[in-house]
Amino acid sequence: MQIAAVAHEADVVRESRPRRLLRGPLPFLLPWLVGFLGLTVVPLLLSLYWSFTNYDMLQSPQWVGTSNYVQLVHDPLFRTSVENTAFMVVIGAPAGIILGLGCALLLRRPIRGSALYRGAIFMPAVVPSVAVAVIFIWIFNPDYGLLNAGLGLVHIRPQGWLADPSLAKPSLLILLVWEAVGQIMVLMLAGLAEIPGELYEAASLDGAKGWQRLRYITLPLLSPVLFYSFIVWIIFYLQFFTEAFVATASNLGAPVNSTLFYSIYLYQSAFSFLKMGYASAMAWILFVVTMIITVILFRLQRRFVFYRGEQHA
Amino acid sequence: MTLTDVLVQPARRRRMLVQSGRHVLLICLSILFLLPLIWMVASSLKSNSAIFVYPPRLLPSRPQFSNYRKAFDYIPFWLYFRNSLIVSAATICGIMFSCVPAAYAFGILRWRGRDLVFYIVLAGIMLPFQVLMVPLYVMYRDLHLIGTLLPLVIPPFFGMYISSAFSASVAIFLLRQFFRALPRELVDAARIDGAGEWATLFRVVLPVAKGGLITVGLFAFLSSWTDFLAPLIFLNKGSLFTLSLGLQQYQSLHFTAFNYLMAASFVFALPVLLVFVFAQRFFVEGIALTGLRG
Repeated sequence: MQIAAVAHEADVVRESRPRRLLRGPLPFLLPWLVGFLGLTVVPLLLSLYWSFTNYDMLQSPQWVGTSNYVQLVHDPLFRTSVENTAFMVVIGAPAGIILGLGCALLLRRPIRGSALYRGAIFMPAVVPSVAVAVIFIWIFNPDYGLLNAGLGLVHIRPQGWLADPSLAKPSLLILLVWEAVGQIMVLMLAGLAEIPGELYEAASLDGAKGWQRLRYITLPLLSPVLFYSFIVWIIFYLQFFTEAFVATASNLGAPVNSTLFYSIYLYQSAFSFLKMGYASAMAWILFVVTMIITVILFRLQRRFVFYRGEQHA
Repeated sequence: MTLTDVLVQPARRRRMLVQSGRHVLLICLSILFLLPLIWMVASSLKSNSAIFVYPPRLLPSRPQFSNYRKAFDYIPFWLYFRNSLIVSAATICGIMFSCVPAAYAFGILRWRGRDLVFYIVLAGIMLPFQVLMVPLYVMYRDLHLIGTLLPLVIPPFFGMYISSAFSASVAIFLLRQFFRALPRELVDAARIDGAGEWATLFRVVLPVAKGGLITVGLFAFLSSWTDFLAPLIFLNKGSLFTLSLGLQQYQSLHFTAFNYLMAASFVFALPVLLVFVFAQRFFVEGIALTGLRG
């Protein structure tokens, strides 16, 4: 290993700078780098510039300063879309994580048929979102759907679900959580497997009860995984699009804008109303908010997340 | 009865009770999670009259397998299927082409500024596709790529792929994890033998990191097969639609042929479900490694 290192250094010394670059990482990074500059950096800058213009894709963009951002603040639809999205983030992310954790705790200790149970709960995660959305449109169908029929068996009145302004968002949440739980469960199971069994043995010798073990061992040691899931799922709910779009395809945001989510309104602004500048401003707000939330969560992490072996570091 | 029997028996009985309670709960949960899928398959086999009856029955009395043939004729199903295959194949190949060498550069090679550049890759995971879709659409339009499949086929070869579940940045991150998990001596031994970096990558690293390649390939397939937003924006001609776009055509404002829609949805989901059944290990490993959505 040392010989190799010395030989490698000798090579480096002998070579001129351009040749060194060619032998170094550049050829390996080249395709990615070209794409990063041309298909990420350039579009990002374009979009930032357009967010300060009026641009309908037909005529060249016209500089309007911060007017798009000012308009957004006063746009009632924008406010509705933010509120709807916040609802999904605040309820959807914790709901999925709590249910996923519950399933993982149920499957944690060996039980006959655990592979089958795990497979069944995870299965929805691999069904394409579009298919999930159309299956649930059909399940939620007020007249012939499975859900109202099931409720009828226990004498609950049929509901409008996706057609009811007060139930449309909860209906979408059911669908999204159904998709999410299996993935969260698998992640939690992987995290639980990392917790050393001796800790529990020591705790039960000390007389710790089930919920105490959960509170003082499982949750602290699982906190990195829990924290990570929160970041991933909060970002997901900020940006989710497909399920809402398909579920309301004939009339986006319906009923009465109760499913007008941020990404839906952004899409409409750009591709239905051709307000590219306005949409770019919305896109940048989404980007910045995503980053801010991530940074805040990372700050909180220092306070709440427990890392094993930290005391040695 | 001995003393130990008296002491052990209640404990064992309690354990059995707990265990049966877990089974009951898990069976209920499994039914809850499988029921929508059963409803999809059952509905796909119902006749036109049986699908619209109240109250609905879970299972069809006489399964109509001909629904599948009719569903394929209802929309240009196989054309969309072919488009989806092309896009997925291109995404898998493109991600391998751009991300495998990049992950090698970040995971195995040593160079100044490596970690800084890698942080940029990680930041890319945070980047929503919504931010890029407007400028990318305009750029592709100006390059006359709109009206072809190319806006979905070319970018993965340059490490540009973002779907809601998976992205090229995640692929680089995942592959790097796999490469770094390899024993360092393996790479050093190849270097002592005088192998160049490319030879090391192809003859030493890749054969051992096969699991990583399969995992990334599966994620690339799964996410591109099911992707909706990018096709929705870039494919504006019916003849270019992928299946995820085409499914919408079973619905219209006044009438939806739910039995055909469910049949088509099932066939659409089938490749992914099959891949999952046969490669569950890789999915689980990938999710555990990244914590990202599958």
